Amino acid sequence: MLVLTRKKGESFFIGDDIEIIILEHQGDKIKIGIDAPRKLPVLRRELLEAATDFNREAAALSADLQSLADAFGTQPSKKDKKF
Amino acid sequence: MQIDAKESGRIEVPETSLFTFPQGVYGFQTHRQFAVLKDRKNAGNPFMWLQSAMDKNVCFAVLDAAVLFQDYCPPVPGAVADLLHLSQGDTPQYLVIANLPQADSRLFLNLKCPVVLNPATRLGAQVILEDEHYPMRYYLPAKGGV
Repeated sequence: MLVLTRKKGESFFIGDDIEIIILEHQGDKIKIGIDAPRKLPVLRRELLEAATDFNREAAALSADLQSLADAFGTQPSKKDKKF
Repeated sequence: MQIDAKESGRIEVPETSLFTFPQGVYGFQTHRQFAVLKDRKNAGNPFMWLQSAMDKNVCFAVLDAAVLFQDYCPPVPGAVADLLHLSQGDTPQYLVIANLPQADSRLFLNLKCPVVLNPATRLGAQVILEDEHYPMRYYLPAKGGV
């Protein structure tokens, strides 16, 4: 793994159009700016892992659709509900 | 097209129910084609299967978010909008994945990682919403209660 040392306000490039900027650091937190084309997804690792875990568990569902409807069926007001 | 479905076995699926997922879904990136299947035994059931065409065991129970909320329409990240050929003004369909684990009898829905479908191009993708407002486990109110 390439390891770089940067100071606050300094940056580096990955390829021609991705710039990573160190904005701020305080204690064990570092604030990073990412300047990248919008087609490049940027995701926090723990979120990606949580989404993957959720899907694996959901794919192991043993209930059938009717059981889900039964669990859902008693819900009051559906369509009008605001999230 | 014929596919093997987890609940119904081998079934014929119309082209209009088939969606291409260029990146699969999280944890199942090699699954590029999914069918959206309604409950064959109960037409009024809002739950559907998002069934991989490749493996009958890769199957998710999903709900069209519009069934539950009138205002669930999180912004689709630019990368995903491009992937699905969504233009500004196009209305995507949001499916949320449900789970009802055996050990826990309360149903929950993943509002943080919806499956976004573009019915016009029949392309789909799962997104992760960075916005903390959307929970990964949204529990429906307890049975009978409000």
